[in-house]
Amino acid sequence: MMSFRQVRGERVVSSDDAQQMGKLAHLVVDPSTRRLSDVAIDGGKRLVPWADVVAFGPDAVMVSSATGVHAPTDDPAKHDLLDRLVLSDCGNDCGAVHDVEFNPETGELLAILTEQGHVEPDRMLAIGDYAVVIATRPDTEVSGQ
Amino acid sequence: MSTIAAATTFIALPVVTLDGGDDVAEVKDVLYDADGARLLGFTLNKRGWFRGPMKQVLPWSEVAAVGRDAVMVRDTNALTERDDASTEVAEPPTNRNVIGNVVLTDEGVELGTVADLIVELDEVATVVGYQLDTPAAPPGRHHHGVVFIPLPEQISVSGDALVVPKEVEPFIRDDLTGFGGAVESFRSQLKGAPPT
Repeated sequence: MMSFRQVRGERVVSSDDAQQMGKLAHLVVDPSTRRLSDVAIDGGKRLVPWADVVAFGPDAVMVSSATGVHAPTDDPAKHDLLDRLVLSDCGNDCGAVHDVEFNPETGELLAILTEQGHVEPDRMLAIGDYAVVIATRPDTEVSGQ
Repeated sequence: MSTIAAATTFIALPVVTLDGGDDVAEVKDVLYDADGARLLGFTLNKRGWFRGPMKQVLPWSEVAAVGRDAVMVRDTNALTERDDASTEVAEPPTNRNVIGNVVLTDEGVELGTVADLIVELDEVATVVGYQLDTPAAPPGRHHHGVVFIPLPEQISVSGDALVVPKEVEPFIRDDLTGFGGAVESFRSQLKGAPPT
C-alpha cells in the first residue's frame, strides 16, 4: 500500500532508455473506476498512462516507455486530489483530502483520508472543478444542519 | 427525511453537480409562491470573475439536496431556461418580500420583525416559520433578541404587518433545535388536537 503524498516528487524514469522523464506531480484518478488512470509529470502538463507504469519503487516510478505520454484533455488542476475540498451529496463540506492510499500493483484506490476520517473509494461520485463529491453513508450524516 | 433551514443561508451557496463535481452557478435569490408559503426555487448568478445574473433558474423540483455549503443538482440539466420553467417560477410575484414586516398576534401583541424565513425542505419546500428580531423586552416578556416562531399553514402576507394566532406564543423558540416538532405541535393545536 502506498499513498499519494508518499510518491509526490519521485523521479519518473522510462526503462527502455533509462531517461528521467520528470518528477511525479500528482496521480490522476478515474472516478468511475476508482483506479489510477495516469501519472502526471511536468506540473500536470504531461500524463503517463497507467498501462505504461511498470513499478512504483521506493526511489523512482518506472515506466516502460515515454511514447504513451499525452497532454490532459481538461484542466489539470482538478486532477490533483491532495488538499481538494470534499463535498457530500447532501451539500455539506467534509473537509479536505489529506492523503489517498492506493495499491501500487493494481492502481486501485484503497482509502481517501480526510480530516473527518476515512472515506471508502466506492463512495466517490465525481472529481470536479469545485470539489470531490462523495455519497453519504446511509446511517451517518444528517442532511442539512 | 426533511430538514429545517433559514432561507438566507442559501444565498451565495454554490450549485454543484453530482455527476461532475463542478460549481455551475450560485444562488442569487430565493423564489416564493404568491402566498409566501412555498419555496419554488432559486434565481442564479454566474460563478467566477464575471458574476452576473444567469438567465436560467433552478426550480425546487430539480434540487437534489441543500446542505450547509452547497446546493446539489444531478447535472447541468437542472438549470432551467425561464421559457421551460412553470409560470410561477419564471414570473414569480415580486411584492412578497416579508423581511422587515412587523408580526402581531391577533390580540395585538407585537412579537417582532421578520429577519428570515424558516423553510422545511422536502419534496416540496414550505415556509414553516419566521426568525424574528424582537423589540426590547418589557417586564413579563419571556423572549428577546432573536426568536423563531412557527407559522400556521395559512398566513396572510399582504400589507406591512403579518398577523398570527395568539396560540403561537407557547411555541416560540430561541433556536432551531427541534423546530420541526414545534411547528407540528402548533399546527395540531390550531386544528383542535390537545397540545403536546
